Amino acid sequence: MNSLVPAFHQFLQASRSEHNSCGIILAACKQLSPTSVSYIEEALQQKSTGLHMQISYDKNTRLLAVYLEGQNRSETHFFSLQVKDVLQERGLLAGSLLIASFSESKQATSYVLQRMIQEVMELAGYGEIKLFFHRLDGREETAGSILLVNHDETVNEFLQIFLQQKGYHVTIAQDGMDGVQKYQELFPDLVITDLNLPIMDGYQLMERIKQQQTGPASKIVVLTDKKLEEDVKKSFALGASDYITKPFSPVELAARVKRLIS
Amino acid sequence: MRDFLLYYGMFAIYYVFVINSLYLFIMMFSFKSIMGILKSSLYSRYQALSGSPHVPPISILVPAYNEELTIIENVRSLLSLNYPEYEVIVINDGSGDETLNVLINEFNLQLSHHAAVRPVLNTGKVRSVYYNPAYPHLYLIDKDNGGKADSLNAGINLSHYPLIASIDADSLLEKDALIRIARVYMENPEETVAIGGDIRIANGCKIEDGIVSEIRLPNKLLPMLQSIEYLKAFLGGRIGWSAINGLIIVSGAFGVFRKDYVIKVGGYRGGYPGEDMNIIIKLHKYMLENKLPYRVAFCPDAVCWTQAPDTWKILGSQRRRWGRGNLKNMIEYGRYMVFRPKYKIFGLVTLPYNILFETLNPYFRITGLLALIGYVLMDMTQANILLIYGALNILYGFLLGIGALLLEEIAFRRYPRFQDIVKMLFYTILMFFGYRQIGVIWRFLGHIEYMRNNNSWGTMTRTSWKAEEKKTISSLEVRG
Amino acid sequence: METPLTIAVYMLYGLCGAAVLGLLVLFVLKLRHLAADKRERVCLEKYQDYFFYIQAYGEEEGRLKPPAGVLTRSEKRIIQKKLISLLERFRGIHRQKLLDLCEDLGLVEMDLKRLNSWWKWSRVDAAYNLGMMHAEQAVPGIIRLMKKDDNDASMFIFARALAKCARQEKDLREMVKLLVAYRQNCQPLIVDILSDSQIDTGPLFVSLVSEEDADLVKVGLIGLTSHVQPGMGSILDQLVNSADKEVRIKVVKLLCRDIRYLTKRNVSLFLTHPDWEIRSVVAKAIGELGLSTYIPLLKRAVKDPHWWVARNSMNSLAQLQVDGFRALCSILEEERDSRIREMANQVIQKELEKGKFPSIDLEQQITHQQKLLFYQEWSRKTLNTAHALEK
Repeated sequence: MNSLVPAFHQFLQASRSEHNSCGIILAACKQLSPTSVSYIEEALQQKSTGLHMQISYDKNTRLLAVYLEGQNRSETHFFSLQVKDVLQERGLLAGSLLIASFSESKQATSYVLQRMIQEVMELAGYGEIKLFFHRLDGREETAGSILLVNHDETVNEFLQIFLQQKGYHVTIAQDGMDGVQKYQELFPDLVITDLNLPIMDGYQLMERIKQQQTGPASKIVVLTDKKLEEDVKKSFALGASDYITKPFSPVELAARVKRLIS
Repeated sequence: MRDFLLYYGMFAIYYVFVINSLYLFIMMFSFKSIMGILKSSLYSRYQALSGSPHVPPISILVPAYNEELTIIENVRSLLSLNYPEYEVIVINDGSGDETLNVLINEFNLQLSHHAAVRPVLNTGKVRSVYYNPAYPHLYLIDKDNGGKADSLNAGINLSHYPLIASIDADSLLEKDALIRIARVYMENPEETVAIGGDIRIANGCKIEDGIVSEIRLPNKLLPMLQSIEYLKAFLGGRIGWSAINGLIIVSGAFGVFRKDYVIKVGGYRGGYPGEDMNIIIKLHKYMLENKLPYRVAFCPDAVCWTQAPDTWKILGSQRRRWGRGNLKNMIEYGRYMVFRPKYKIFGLVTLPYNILFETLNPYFRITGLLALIGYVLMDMTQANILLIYGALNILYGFLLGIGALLLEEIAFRRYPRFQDIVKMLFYTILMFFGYRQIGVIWRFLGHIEYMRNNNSWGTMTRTSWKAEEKKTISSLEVRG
Repeated sequence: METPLTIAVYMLYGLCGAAVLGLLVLFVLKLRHLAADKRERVCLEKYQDYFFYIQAYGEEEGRLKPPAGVLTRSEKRIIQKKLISLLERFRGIHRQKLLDLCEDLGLVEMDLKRLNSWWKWSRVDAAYNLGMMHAEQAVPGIIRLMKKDDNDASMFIFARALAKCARQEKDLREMVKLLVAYRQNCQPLIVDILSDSQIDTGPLFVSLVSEEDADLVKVGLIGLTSHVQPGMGSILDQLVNSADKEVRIKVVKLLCRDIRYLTKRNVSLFLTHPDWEIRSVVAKAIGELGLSTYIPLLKRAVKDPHWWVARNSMNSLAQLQVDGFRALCSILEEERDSRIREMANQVIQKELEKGKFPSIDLEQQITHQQKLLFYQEWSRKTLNTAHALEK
């Protein structure tokens, strides 16, 4: 029987209200002795002045759980960095971390917690911090699949993080040729492409995609530096649904993406 | 007799000293500008500029002769540069191979009967122009063979934009090379008549789909020696010369010009090698004679990769050609402009330097060396004079090589590994044990060919871009 | 005889020394760079999770937290580089949060101090960073640097930084004035620099157009082409008669973007203007804007001695649907000058050639068919007349 769940309920009862947000961090550790656990607890208490926090450790699954009250997603995530640091300093981390945050603590049911426990144990990799998405209806559901074709690594990295947070499944292609290939493999709901790509530029990519439209059409959004009218006109003529210039507002991009995919 | 030989030998030693010191002096100017160049190249926001509507449009002219193996990759790479508005005009100079058909098939070009060709410059017969609206910025001119200069002039006649870029068909431009040059232009548009780019040796680099994906020093001897040579000439020399507005040459492999001024000086001079130096000389002459403020600039962070000759035969042919071209330009223009105050730095510094230390270089060096050898043979006790001569050459050359590598390390760092520097230093010294001497002889042979009125361009076999493996599949098959 | 040789030997010693010195400097520099590279790699890896954090939560309320623990100076610089690389790609709330983070990390303060550094390039670095961080506090410092520093290319770096930091029009104005004083003819670059600015540059351009200095006017005119402002008619009309040719040309280019300015009076004035550039621009604009009423004026303009004017006039006629096409054919018929006839023929053939390429637009296809029909009939007719004349 997993000791984390009752510990969590204990924590919830101690917390001040059901409507506060709360955060949960699960970390896969090595076999911890009680002294180690209390050491970790002390170290974390130092770093978290003023936070209502509780730690519990389950010997069977070797999972360390940290429960935080009143912390939203970003604060929970930030704190998880500290947790990881502390564990790694002492060489106690054996796997990855899973974070979840609930805007109302009553959403965090035992069922959800069990699922989290399951997921963190299945996580491969070491030292990665993953976000847990609670599907309220239990189905596997992504908001949509997006193919991102861009040569700019910074933008790619950011958009992958950003869009995946919103529940989209993101694939990245670094050049036009790769973009066409991945498109043929995945048939994503939406393609976000730059115009200036190596090997095959954005226009040719859009043309190829148009040629391959068999089922429902994929929408295309152009995200580029080019601000010339001619490029805007040409993009729309080739079937783009939207044209966004850099520098861009990610919030606006997300809104347009949502509108196009739904 | 012995005294004469000695004095002449001493003169040769001084000659070597002066030539290298002048070079060092110019290199000091390079050092002076290098920090400015570094910061400008870091902080000029090229990414944003590459989409801006305020950047002047450019016509890229690509003369092509028997380039069927590499022309498609090159054109594709040129069509996807980071630049807001530009066109690519390929000029097929009456190729004997399938260059024309390869292009027509790849881009589905159709005969365009009535393209707007404005005959400002005289050229050989233009047979036809090809175009496909699916590639709106690509034009193909097919003309009778007339040489590179003639092809460039034909391209100028068709071009629609006020700036032209002359590119060799085997040059591999970096994606942001053109926008970097445009930035230099935009900082002083009225006065800038020409801007040269930096040419680097691509041998040994990994090239995929028209992009240099990994930069490495060449493995073979000859390309490696040329790598150092180019580094010294471009970073040590051209930056400095352009800083004092005395630049005498902008590489034909990658240069940008103001079309109106090129037309005013009569376009490119055909029929003989050296048209890249020739056009710059003419531009200096025109601007100075008309008392117009101007500059011929150099942009070292705009890089164009080119394949260097890797056999002695082809290299020799290239160097002899350069020797011929240099001599012809000096005879045609140099001697009327040299030492005349009207031509300012160009006439008072650049041309004398060029005539005395580049054109006449072989004569002084060969005769000087012979004199020294003769003197030593006459009096073996003075053998160390030869050693001094040799040591002077090597040491000074080495010092200049260090200077060039220092400039590279400060601002560009394209060869990041420590072993690269060691390798380059080694070859800098190695250069003086045979390579430089042969270079001098080639230059001399080039002069002889000039006197004999030999006009050809010599041999240059084209090999495909696929690096070390040298596969023979054509790029058509790879495209699929 | 001996002494020159000894001089030569001394020269050799000198060269040796210089070479050794050069090698030392080269190796030290190289090693420093390699060490810096390694430091950067290590730091970026150390803070990888942190960078994930700041990229994932850019939308939420509340500021992003700076990384825990004490940061060394070089770590701060490396993080600054990463933050700047994100900053320059974003707008909106994400950017704002990153800017706040830069301030919280003390990066703005660090660079403000460096603005007064003794080494010129340190100052340039600091100005650039402050520009990228949109630091309002840096404006007076950068203006001071622009006024003081030995004039060279770093002026443009300062100018860009200033454009990003400035919050008030008067600062931008000052920047434009300083740049114009430094280099008279880089107006497009100035407008591009101004496009980086956070504040609306429209009013600035309008005010520049009314300035005395022709260069400032040009900046204003170029700026207005991207930010069209209402109510410019009277000022522009005045400027058409400016003494400076460039100004005249730019004004006409601006006027040509708006149909309202292309009145009959203006068009006939411009098509007969002494500057060929103006004639050319107007001829081109008539076609682009589809002003078929000016076809007769264009017909006269094709006889212009300047190649570009004639060419643009003919191209415009080709763009003006069937009426324009008819006009072209009539030129071919009536005109005596063979050069003009040849050009007209070229343009006609090119227009007909367009049928070879499939057009997406149905309307275009219809007009093209009409032109084709007209041409076939017309050529038959003219051929008959030619035959009749011959007989």
